[in-house]
Amino acid sequence: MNQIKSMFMRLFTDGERLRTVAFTILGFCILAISITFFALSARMSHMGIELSMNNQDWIVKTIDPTGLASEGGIKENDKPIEINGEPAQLFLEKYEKEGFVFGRLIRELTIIDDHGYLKSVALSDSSPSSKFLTKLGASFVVCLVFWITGFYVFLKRQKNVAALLSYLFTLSFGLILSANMAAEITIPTAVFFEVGASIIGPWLLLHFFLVLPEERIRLRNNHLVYLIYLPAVITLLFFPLVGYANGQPILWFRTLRMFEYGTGLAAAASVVVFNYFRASSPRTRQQMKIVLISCLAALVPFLVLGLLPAAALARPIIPSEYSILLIVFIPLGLGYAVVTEKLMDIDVIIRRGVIYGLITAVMSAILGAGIFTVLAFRNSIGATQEILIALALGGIATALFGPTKNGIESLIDRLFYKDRYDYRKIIQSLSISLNSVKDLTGVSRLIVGTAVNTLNLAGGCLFTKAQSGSFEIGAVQGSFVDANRQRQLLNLISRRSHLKEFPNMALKESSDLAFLIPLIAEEKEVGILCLSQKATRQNFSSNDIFLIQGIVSVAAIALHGAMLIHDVSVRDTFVSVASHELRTPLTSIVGYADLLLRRDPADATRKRWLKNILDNSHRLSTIVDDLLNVSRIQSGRINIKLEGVNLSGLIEEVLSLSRENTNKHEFVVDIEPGLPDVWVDRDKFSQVVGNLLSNAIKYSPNGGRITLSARNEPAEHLIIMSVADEGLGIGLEDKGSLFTTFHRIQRPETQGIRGSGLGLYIAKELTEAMRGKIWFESELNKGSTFFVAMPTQDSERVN
Amino acid sequence: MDRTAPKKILIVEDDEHIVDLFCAIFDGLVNYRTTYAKSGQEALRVTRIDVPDIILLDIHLPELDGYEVCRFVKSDPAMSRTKVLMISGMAQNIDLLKAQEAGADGYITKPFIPTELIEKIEAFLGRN
Repeated sequence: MNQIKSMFMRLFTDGERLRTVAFTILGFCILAISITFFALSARMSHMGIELSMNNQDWIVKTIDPTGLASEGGIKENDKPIEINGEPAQLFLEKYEKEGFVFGRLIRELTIIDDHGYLKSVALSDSSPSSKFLTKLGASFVVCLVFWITGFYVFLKRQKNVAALLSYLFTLSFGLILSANMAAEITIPTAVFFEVGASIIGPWLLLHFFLVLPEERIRLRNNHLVYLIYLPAVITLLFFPLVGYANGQPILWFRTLRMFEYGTGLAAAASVVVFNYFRASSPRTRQQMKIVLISCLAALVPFLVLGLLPAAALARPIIPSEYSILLIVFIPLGLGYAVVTEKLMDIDVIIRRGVIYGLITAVMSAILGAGIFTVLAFRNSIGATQEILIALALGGIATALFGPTKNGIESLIDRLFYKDRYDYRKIIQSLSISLNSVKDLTGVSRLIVGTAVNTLNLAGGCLFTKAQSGSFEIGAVQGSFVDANRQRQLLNLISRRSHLKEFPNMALKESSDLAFLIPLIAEEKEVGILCLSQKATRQNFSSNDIFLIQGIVSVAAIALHGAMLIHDVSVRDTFVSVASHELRTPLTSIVGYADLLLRRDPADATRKRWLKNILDNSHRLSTIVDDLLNVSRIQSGRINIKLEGVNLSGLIEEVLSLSRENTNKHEFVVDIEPGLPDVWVDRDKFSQVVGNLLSNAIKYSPNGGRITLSARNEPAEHLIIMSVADEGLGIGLEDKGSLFTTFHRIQRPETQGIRGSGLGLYIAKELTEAMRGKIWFESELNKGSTFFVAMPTQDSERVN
Repeated sequence: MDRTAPKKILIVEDDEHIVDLFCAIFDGLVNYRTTYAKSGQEALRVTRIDVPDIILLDIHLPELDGYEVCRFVKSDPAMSRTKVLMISGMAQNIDLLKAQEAGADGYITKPFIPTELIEKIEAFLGRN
């Protein structure tokens, strides 16, 4: 079974690798085609013109300022009289129905302008214009950024569908741009590449945004999502049939294609906006924020400095051959959204950007004012004074930099990040408080208290992670105080996934639990902070998330430090108590041995002393075994071999050993007939039962009945075993620490009861290591019942 | 003071196996008269009835620990001549220091050899 499983795993892994290799090869092929198109475009000029029919006359409709036609002085509304060496009327005859001709079909053109002048241009005797080469260079740089980002994201997140889609999108964008340029210089095949890539591109983008959010992770493996490509596929199929005639795309089909792109892009944009506003996880919201910001960074300057001035003043502030460079923000934003783990940092980046932007403006104003002042008096001052003034200005700017920066930072935070400004103070104050507290409980309480009180939460709970890997309650407040609730949280923690961790919400796991936050220090998980919903049931704002992040980063370090101190202290106590426990039986052994050596007692006394030596040697051996077990448990080195074990047989074995140690007790075994086998480590489980039985005997010194029961809980695939005695019982003061190391019940009645105080700790740790649970019920002076719930063998099959 | 009279030793120990060992050690030694207490409170009760010459005092005791018992004994003028010898399995410097602070006259760590214990007691009593 395991072999088949590993074979499948290998196939799956190989399949993943195969997919990566296949898509990498595809990527390099597309890259090669795109670079070839760019290289070819750089060698030839293009006409850069479009002709259209106007009142039965053909005229120049549009002029590309980087094309040969523009360079040759041809203007809009000029009339073509000769095309490609034949009369224009003859050449244009077959396009009359279409009423439109793309310049890519024209290699030679002669026109007549309004004043009757003839102008001719021919591609054969021309080289690309400097403007065209600039545009080509800028497009290549843009494509380069797209390709690098695409390949980086794909190789960094090889198993991520969103990464693959962004990779394909960047490749398709490069192909669109390069093929468009190549098509302009009359490479007919380039048109097909351009059209194909541009038809698929927007839908790739839509697919990307649909599957990017983690809450829609199921969609990644749902084949129905591929239906979104249906319009693109239909358009692609129809293009060679009805979309292309006489060497150029047909106009109506071109309009249809434009509509199809527009729909795809609009759908993608709508999904981004939808994702942003309806995101259930802050991570998704941040991802969408990054995408939106990158799109705005690309498009707003393009509109403000390019398209709008071109429309209003007939001259863009930034020519199109340069403004295209702004598009690089888009792949950078997409790539960052997929790859980064530190999504929350984007707000920090924006804030810093605004602050440094303002500092730059203030500093420029100071220096600018100085320079203008100097220029105003330049005739009356000499070179030395100019240098001195320059130095003085530099000095003033340097001296003012610090206060300016602090002032602006404070102003921005007060104006736009007021909560954060307050929150930063809280984090600073928490950090100072944590520095003054060193004990684990104090640190834990401070962390939970700060989070709960500042965010007005219904409750909070901090679990610290022990070296053995188990979680223990560090501090708890509010709605999580209930012990059952804490058990549920521990359950959640044990089966939590990365997707349910902060900054994602854990609401789906439990209605009142907002966040499960791992505290990581030195790349090691030191604890888990569980935060409830707000007491007012309000949603968490991005500022709240900022505060939680701040608390968590400060808390993780403080908790790690406190845990190290605690570990050292626990180790010291352990060594000290262990040494004490070992020395007591050793005292008897050494004492009686010395007495036997130096005195000559009667036979009966000699035998009694020898028996004492033997008993204490056994006790010593038991303590050493217990200590070794504790050491293994605490260092996480328990080796568990689970197997199906017949519980009745095991109980009888353990009981037969225990019966030898007492003649005061009556043992009753009450096992439900037909119990399934338990799924445990035989030796470890024997030890658990043995420890419970030994305690039952020891803590009922007056004898009485000891009942061992076992019953099946088929619904939960559990067997619950119990050991009940009629002994001293457990007082309230001992109930909380019964399962800790070296805990002994200190009551007058327990004097003389031997034990190391490790038995129950070992029983609990071994039970939990075998995926079981242990608990007890007890009434003072009436007896105790210890319960152990272990999984059945069939539960293993179910899993 | 009669130097040959049996010396009164109070043994304060809660572990009955160690108590058994003390019984075995002092059994048949006519120089000593031993009394036993199993807790700190019981030890103080015993000292009020019959002031011992020396107390062998365990540190870990129920109700009142060995350090507390030692402080009571040392602050009681009636027991100004009583020597306190603390016996414990705690063998770290800090334990020794705590015993000194409590006013103990000596400290013996477990395990001890009975012969050496007797020699130490004799030394305290100034008989050797």
